[in-house]
Formats: sequence, structure tokens, C-alpha cells
Amino acid sequence: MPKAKTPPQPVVVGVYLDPHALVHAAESARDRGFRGLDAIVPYPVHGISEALNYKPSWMPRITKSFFFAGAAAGFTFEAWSMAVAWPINISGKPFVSVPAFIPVTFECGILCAGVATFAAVLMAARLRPRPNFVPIDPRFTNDRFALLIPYGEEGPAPAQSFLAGTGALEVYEIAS
Amino acid sequence: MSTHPAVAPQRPVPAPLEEPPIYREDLTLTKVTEDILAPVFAKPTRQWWTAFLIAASCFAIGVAAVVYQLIVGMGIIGIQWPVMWGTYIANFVFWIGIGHAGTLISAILFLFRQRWRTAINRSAEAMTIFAVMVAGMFPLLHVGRTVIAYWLFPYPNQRHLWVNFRSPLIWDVFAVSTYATISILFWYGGMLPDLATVRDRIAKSGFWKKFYGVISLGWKGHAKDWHHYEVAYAMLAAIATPLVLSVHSNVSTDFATATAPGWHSTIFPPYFVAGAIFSGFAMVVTLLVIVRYVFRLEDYLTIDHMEMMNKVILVTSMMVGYAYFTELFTAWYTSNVYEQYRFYGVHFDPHFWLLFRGPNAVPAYLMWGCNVFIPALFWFRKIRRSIPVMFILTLFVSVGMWFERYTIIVDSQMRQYLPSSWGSYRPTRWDYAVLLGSFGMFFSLFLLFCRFVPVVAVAEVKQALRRQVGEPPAPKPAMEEVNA
Amino acid sequence: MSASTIPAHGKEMDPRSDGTHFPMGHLEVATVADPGPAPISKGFRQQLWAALAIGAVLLLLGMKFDPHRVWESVIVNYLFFLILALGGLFLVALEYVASTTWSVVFRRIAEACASYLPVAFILSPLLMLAAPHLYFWARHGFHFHRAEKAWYYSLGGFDFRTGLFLAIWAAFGAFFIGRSLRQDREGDQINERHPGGWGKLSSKNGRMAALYIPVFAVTFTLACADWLMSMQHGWSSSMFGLYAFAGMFEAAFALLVVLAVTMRRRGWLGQIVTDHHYVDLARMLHAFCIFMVYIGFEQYFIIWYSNQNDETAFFHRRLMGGWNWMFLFLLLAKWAVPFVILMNQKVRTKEPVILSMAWLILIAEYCDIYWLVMPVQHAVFTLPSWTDLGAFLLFFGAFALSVSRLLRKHSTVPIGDPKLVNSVAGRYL
Repeated sequence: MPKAKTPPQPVVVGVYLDPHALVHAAESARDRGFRGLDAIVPYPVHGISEALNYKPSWMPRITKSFFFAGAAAGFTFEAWSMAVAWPINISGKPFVSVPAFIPVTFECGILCAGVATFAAVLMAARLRPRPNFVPIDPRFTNDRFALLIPYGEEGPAPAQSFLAGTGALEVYEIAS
Repeated sequence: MSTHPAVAPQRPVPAPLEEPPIYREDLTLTKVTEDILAPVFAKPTRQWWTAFLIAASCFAIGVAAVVYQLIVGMGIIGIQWPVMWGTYIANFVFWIGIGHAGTLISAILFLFRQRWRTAINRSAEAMTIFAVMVAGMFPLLHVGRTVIAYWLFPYPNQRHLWVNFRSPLIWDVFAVSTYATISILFWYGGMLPDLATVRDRIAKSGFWKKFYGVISLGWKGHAKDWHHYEVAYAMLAAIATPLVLSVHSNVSTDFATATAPGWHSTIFPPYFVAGAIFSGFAMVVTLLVIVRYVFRLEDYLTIDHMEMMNKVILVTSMMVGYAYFTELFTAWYTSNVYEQYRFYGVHFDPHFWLLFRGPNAVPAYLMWGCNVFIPALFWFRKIRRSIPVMFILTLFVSVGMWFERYTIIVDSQMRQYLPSSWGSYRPTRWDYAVLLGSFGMFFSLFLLFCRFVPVVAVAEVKQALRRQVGEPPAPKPAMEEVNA
Repeated sequence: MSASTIPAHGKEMDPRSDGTHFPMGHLEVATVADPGPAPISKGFRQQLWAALAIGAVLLLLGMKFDPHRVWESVIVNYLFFLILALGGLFLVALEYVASTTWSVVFRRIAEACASYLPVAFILSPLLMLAAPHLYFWARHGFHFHRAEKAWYYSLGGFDFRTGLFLAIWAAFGAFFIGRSLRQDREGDQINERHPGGWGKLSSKNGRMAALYIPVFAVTFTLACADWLMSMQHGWSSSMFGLYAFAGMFEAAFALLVVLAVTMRRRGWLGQIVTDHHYVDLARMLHAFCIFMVYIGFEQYFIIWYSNQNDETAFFHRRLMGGWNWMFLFLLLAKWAVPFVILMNQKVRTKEPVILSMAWLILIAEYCDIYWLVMPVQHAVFTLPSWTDLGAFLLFFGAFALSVSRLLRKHSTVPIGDPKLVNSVAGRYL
């Protein structure tokens, strides 16, 4: 079976039962100066983004800009096809009937915004069909919380001792 | 003006309130996963097979009727001049409306932070998608020449013609297809972490492991993934909320922009939206009563959840009642005799003392009775919390809402402006067969869904469970506020 | 005001320190310091009485010098302040029905707005006196074809319904406010049967609110048909009640924002209202901008599309002769500008931004009522005259005195409501 994508660097994994402990561990790891911290959690844990110093997500910008782009494109296409490409007088309405164009304009904006947001998630989380996926630990999608600390030449020992001191149930390392 | 007093008196106030727990206190994350995933791993039960076979046979009847109609032609169904929009359009409006509850639960309740939604949003969203799929078929069948239904979409063709964007029917095409797309993305996106949970629970490699590996798209659950995922979910909820309002508003403009008496009414868009939410919630309750029984999910789909749903049904029933009231009031207020005849003459024929003598009175009474008066029983707490009673009441609501659509669509065509344009309408057995088939299709798809993916959003229930226990304090750097 | 917030985990966490950060469920508050009544000075109240008196004098002068115009001013300004009070009452009822927690900190302000309703009832003879001058059906020589409609749209019927509706609303208002103030005085016991830990008095209000909302829906629709719709001969729209409702809700919410921000700036709300409450206010304001444009657009749209001359008469009058600029202003001020500005998450805690948006919406609501009433009487755009100033001062004085009376005599927050603690702490997220 081909290897699924593992972390590029060797990491020490600390496994927690309690998300509270995980957030505290992540916070103190950050303050201790560990770099490249990562966590794997079965559900969005409150406070982990702050503990890992993540910037606010750029998703809202994607949604908003694609909404306006889609709406503008939709309206332009309607106006072009009704007034320029083949103008037909239908029930005496103006060729560019702004009120009548609004529903489709709105739907085009929503469609673009929704598809773009979904695609952005796929890209941000690098999601694609993986028939032979092997998880680091299947419990991380169930009931365990993990803090991942990568290590370099200094070896796994500092991270291991740190994690053991934060109340991790298990500490193990994964070589890449 | 004077300043604020330096020392305010301390007043005794009650201690901080505990929200009543939504889920049982002894649930653990492990147990949540096991319980909810159990139907996915277990062999289907006899109840499931029974239900599925019934649904599938109904579906088969519908398919047979549709095939016969495609071969023989539109003549077999009941439409005849002047009623050219028959049960197909009523079914379309009905099923689109059913779908609205799913989006409402998943998007609007999410934005309003109603925590009780976590247990029901998955099945409600699935219901949305299947309802929209069912609904989407009816315009295609209704156009008669279904093979060229793709003409509804604007595409470059050799005649250089485009669709008429000033027509409400084209708005529908865009609204329904956008709605279907966004609902599927919202549902599938919300399901990714749970599919990963299923994938990681499959021990032996083989087809199913590969299958869930493909459909879970390799979701790993890194904090960074969740970080973007949560915001994206909120953004999808924020766009789905106006979308759900717009879809049924567009459907209502199919009628409201026409000049037919009874159709042309400015309240139609919000009225249709309220009716859609009403019928959709009723359908959700019907389905959840079955699901919680068949799959033993009483701990997750609790009686409190059901009560909240019934409250929403009560509120939307009153909104629908308000719309009926304004329609009647405006018909009385206006000096338009056609409008008045549509509302008073058709149902309460003024030439007869007997109320039940209007040409199309029975559907109208069903509509009033099942949509306004029967749901009023939900004013009583006992009834809101009784599973058998709510099951029966919500079935009544479904019946009432179908007849509401039937009444709106058919009555106005039967009684146009000139008596020379009056006519009658009666659905044939083929109409009923296709209607039965639509229910069969809907329930078959829903039962298959229950079989292959978790019916309750596992990750969200876990999150709600954690909230119930109490969240740890947030660390210092501020997170972008996530909402509409 | 030392120990108003005690974070559970021992860290200092000032809710105001960080605007974008939500102190979520983890922030536990042990006690809530009572901010006490609003210290509204006597001088301010005297100014309000003076405004009221000047308004009354101007109206009396108007009756002599501009007798037709004065009644138009009366109805525009009467309805504007009535709508603000009704909106306040609706917000109160909605809070009970939807069992929301976040809005509890603002309930007293909404109650203060609603406390104008009895005064509106007392002032309703002005509306009844205005009726013969404003409505086509009240003029001499007009007859309906249908007897029952002639009976319904007679001056007697109009006066009866006006008085009845106002009495119903005022009675409900008195009920809600009475229970809420009783909670202030006596505290409240937790109602065990009600999920969410309501007080017993809150539960009583909740049941009454469930009754009030359907009653309000029907009475308000009929009242709008009487006061506004029946002004234009031959026109009707089944959406009209909802249109007025959407405007009412948006404006009442804007007034709530204005009052809450002003009172917090002056320190009258103690430390009860924090930035995360602003986020909720701004979000609701944003949502109701969208609701307003949805209702307004659909009404316009369906009438525009069908193009039937008895219906388009409504917009024809209101989009001709200079009134179109007012329509454009309404579109911008009630929807476009607040919608675009409040869409940005970051500005939602900025006081100047939400305050200016709220003021804009309030002004727009005034213009909306002006735009609904005046084009029927004047085909060409007419600026507000000195009689409008008089009517405005009169009703503003009455309204502001009612609001300040309640806030001056009672705590500025419903201090006895058991849900207040959670509302202050943001334990509803």
C-alpha cells in the first residue's frame, strides 16, 4: 500500500483526552518557543486557533469577492443577451429590465460565492480523493486530541519531556 | 446632564443559570461515535428493508407512470384547458418547499447559534437535497417535451437565441439549480469530518475503506483545516440564508407576476417562504420520528429537539394563517370583483347557503384545517412532546400544504376573468401515480442516506457536548469573529 | 463597580479590552452590579416639556394659518413615534417568544420605548381629528358601492378601530412592563418547568407574548390599512402590512442602538453592555436591513412586473414630481449603505459606525412615512414645513418624556430577570 502523506518533518505526538489540556499544552508550547506546532482534533476545539497563533481565516474575503464578481457577471450577461445580442420586445418591458434581472443576478452571485468557498476549503485543507489514506492515528477522528511538535537536529527528547509534563496520556514519535 | 453615580448599589441577583443539558450527561466522545455510526456498520435491519421496499415500490410505480407519459404524451394527466398547470406544478412547489426546512435548520439556526440544531441538521440537509431533486424533475416533466428541457439553460446555440431573462420561469431555473448546488456543497462539506470518522473506523482494507477514503477526501482534522473549515461553513450558512428566502420567493413570482386573480398578490413571496418552512419542518419531524425509532437514536434526537421543531411548526403555521388572513382581507378591501370571486366565490359560493358547495371547496377546507387549525394543537405542551401525536399532526400538515399549493394553482386557472374561460380540473390516476412516485423516490433516497452516512453530525454533537460541559478559556490572540 | 465581572479562571479579562474577541461561554459572572436608574437631569426634562409646548403652539397656529397641511404633519409625526413605540413593544415580545438571552440587557430600553403607547392612546384624538382632512372616503360626496365597506370606512369605524388598536397595544405593553418591573422590585423565582431557567414572571410574560404577536400581526395590518393604505383611492397591496412592519422593526432596532450606545457612553448602563453586545446589535440591524429590502423589493417588483394601472398608481405617484429622489434615498439609507457598511465584521464594534448607521435608518424611516403619506396629497415634492416642525416637537416631546420617565425611575437594565446574568456574560453563544 503506498504511503499516505505524513508530516514532512519527524514529529513528536502528544495524545490528550481533554481538549482543555490540549489547548493549555499548545499555549505553553508556543510560549516555550516550539515552532511549527500542529494539532489534530476530532471536532473544532475552542481556542486552539489562538493557541497556535493562526491568523484570521481569509475565507470571508473569498466568499464576498466571488459573490460580487458572480453577481456582476450575471447581470452583465443578462443585459448583453437581452439588449445587445438579440433584443426582443417581450410584453413591452425594457430590454434592460433591472428589476426583472435581479433574481438571476442574485442567484449567480450566490452560486459563485458558494462554489468558490467550497473550492477554497478543498485547497486550504489539501483535500482530494485518497482511496488508500492511512491516518496517523485513527483515534484522532474519534475521541483523542493530539498536539504535534516537529523536531530537528536536537532530537525528540525536549519535545517528549515537554509533552509528558503537560498531561499527555501518550507521547510517541513519528519519523517521516 | 449629570454623571454616572460613583458607586452603584449591589443588588442580589440569581446565580448564573445553567442551560438545560441537551444531551445526556453520561455521553462520552467514544460513545457518541459508536452510537451514531452503528447504523452505518450494522447490517440493515428488517425494519429498514421493509421501509425501503415500500418506498422503492412506490418509486417504481411513479417511474412506470412517467415512462408511460413520456411515450403516450401529456394527455394522460388531468390538465386540460384552461387549467394547464396541474399537479406537476403543485408537486414542484410542494417539494421545493419541503427542502427549505433543511437549509433553514442548517444555515439560519446556525447563524442564530441554536445549539439544538446539531442533532438534526444532517438529516434535514439530506432531506433538502432529495426534496430538491424530486422537485427539479417536475418542471422537466411538465414541459412535455422533456428531451429538449435543456433549452431552459442559456447556452450558445446556432440560432443565437438566449433564454428570456425577464421570465419568472427562467429565474426558477437559476434559483433551483443554485439551490441544489449550494445545498449539496453545504451538506457534503459538513459531512467530510464525519466521513473521515467512518473511514478511520473501518478495520480491514477493501472496497468500503477505499470508498470512504475517496468520499472523505482525505480529511485529517488538522487544527489549521478546522480553522478555515469553520469560517467557510459560517460563510456558506450566511449565503444559504438569503438563498433560501430567494428560492421560494422566485417560485412564488411564477404566480404573483401573472395577472390571474388570486395569483397576483404582493404577499406571495414571504407567504410562500413561510409555507415552505412550515411544510418542511413538518416533514423533518415526520422523518425524525421514524429515524429515531428505527435507528435507536433517542439519546441524540431527544424529545426536547422534537419540541423545538414543533414550536417552529406552530410559529410558521401562524405566519401562514396570517398570509391567508391578509389575502382574504385584501380581497375584501379591494374593489376588484375577480379577486373577490376567487377568494369568496370559489370557496363559499355566494349563490348557495351551503358552505361546501364551491366548485373547489374541499381542498380549500383541507388547507385551512390542516395548516391553521390542526397545528394550533401545538400550543399545548403535552401535544408538543408526544411522539405519536406529533407524527400524526405533521402528516396532516403535509397533506394540508399539498392542498394549499393545489388550491392556489388550480383555482385561479379555473376562474379566470371571463366566465367563458371558466373550466374544471380533476387529476387522473396518472397524476396520483406520479405523486406517489415522488414520495417513493424521496423516501428511498432518504433511507439509503441513513444506511451509508452518519445521520447525525458526529463532530458537531461532540462540540455541543463539550459546550455543555464548559469551554476552556480562550488564549490571548483574538480570533476573527465568524458569522454572517 | 469593582466586582462586576469575575472571570472563572482567575485571569483578568476585561470584556471591553478587545473588540473582536468574544468572551464566550467560559466567562462566568457571579454578580451583576445594578447600574441604577438613568440620572436624567431636570433641565433636560424641562427642555422636553418646552419642546412639547412649542410644538403644541405651532400646531395651534397651523390650524389657523395652514389648516390642511397641519393634519398631514400630525399623521406623519404621530405614526413615526407610534411606530417606534410599537417596535419597542414588539422587540420585548419577541425576546420572550424566541427565548433569546442576548437581548435581555437591552430590554429595559425597548420597554421604555413601549411605555409611550398609553400616551399615544391619549394623543390618538389628534389622528381622529385628522381623518376627515386626509382620507378620500371621509370627504363629502364620496360613497362606496358596497354597504359593508361604507360602514367599515366611516369616521366612526375609523375612530373606533384606532382607539381599540391603541388600547390593545397599550394594555399589552402595560402587562409586559409591569411584570418586568415587578421582577426588579421583588426578584423572581426560577420556573423549573421552563427550559432555559426562566423566572416565573418571565414565563407569564412569555405566554402573553405568544398571544400578543398574532394579535399584533392582525391589528397592525388592519391599522396600516386604515391609516396609510386607505389614503390612496383604489390601491391595495396584501404586502402592505408587512412592509410597514419591516420598516417598524428596522427603525425600532435603530432606535435601540442609538439609545444603548448613548447610554453606555454616559455610563448609565454600568459595565453591563459590552462590545460583544454591540456585535449582536449590529448583526440584527444588518439582518433587518436585508429583510426590509426583501419586503420592499418584492412589493415593488410584483407591482412593476404585472403593470396593472390600479396598482402602479401607488408607485406612479411616489416616483414622479420629485418624489423619486426620496425613493432613492430610502433605498440607500434603509438598505444599501447600512448593508455594505455593516457587512464588514470589524466595524461592528465601532461605536461611531453603528451609531451613524442607526441614525441613518431612523431618518430614513421618517422619510419613509413622509413618502407614504405626502405624495397622495401633493403631486409635486414638498419639503416639510413649519407645521411638521410643530408636530415633530409635540410628539417627540411626548415620546422622549415617556422614555426618560421609565429610565429615570427604574434600573436601566431588567435587573431582576434571572436571564440577565447570562446575557451580561455572553453565555448564549
